[in-house]
Amino acid sequence: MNRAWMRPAARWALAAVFLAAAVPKILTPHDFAVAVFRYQMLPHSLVNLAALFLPWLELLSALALVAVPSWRDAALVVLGGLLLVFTAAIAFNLYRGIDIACGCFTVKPGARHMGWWNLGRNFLLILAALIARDRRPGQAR
Amino acid sequence: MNEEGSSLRPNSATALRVAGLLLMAAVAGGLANLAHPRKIAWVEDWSRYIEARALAAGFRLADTATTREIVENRSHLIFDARPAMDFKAGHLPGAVSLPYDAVQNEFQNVAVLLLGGQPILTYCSGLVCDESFLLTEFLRQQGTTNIVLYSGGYEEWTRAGLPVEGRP
Repeated sequence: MNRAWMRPAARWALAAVFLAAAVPKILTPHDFAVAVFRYQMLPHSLVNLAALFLPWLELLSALALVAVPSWRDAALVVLGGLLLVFTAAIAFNLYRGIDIACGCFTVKPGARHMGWWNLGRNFLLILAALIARDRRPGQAR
Repeated sequence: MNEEGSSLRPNSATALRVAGLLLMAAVAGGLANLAHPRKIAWVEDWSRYIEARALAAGFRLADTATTREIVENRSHLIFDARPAMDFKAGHLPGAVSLPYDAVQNEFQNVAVLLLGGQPILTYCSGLVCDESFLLTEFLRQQGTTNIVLYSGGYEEWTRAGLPVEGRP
């Protein structure tokens, strides 16, 4: 079966998800800083810097993934790394019972707080990142 | 690096581009903050935020979604720790005024409410007020232990578009 369509579809899906995640954080940096702070994982001195840096990393990597073919690999490495870090952070806070909103796609105060379904969603995104990889010559299909 | 490897395992060109993305994100984030109408401090003293103090003191925290459930289910006694004037201007539905700045005098008026052993939720104006933290500490000293603190306070509640009482 020809599955060639899956790779570009996975790329576009991943890019759309990260663009949707980045924009509200960029528009409301303080609200996102509060979300980062609530994870209680970074030293206080790094909370605002992370809140300014991460959404732009998401945005630029998502754009590179779909708009700049020569940067696709790098974008996938970054987005894959972000997904692993975010998944670990969510799992760690669920494990220690910190009851907070994910801060993934919205940073509004009334946002639904996170649960194990957030991990399931992230695993699907990691799967999309794996599917989105370019095949190299000689690599098994 | 192995040219036949997966593209999630970077070769040197990919590694350089990854570094480029990291650098561009840092520059873009910095410039965007300089131009943002509500720019944030590069480094902030988050210990002034009530949540940091509450977590350090071992208090349980409630976010807006949990507080909404509490308000809708009427499962907790809700104490508004802000000054009485702020309470009159608007408060969470079902809340009772217990301003921390007058708690020594006011506590006797509400002490009877605690006899039922109902859990308690406290709040004040927002993330950087400390009256609800201090009130929670005071209530613990009075022997009440089943308390949650809504750290977002009145500000987050109204920003979420949730109903209030007492507004003229």
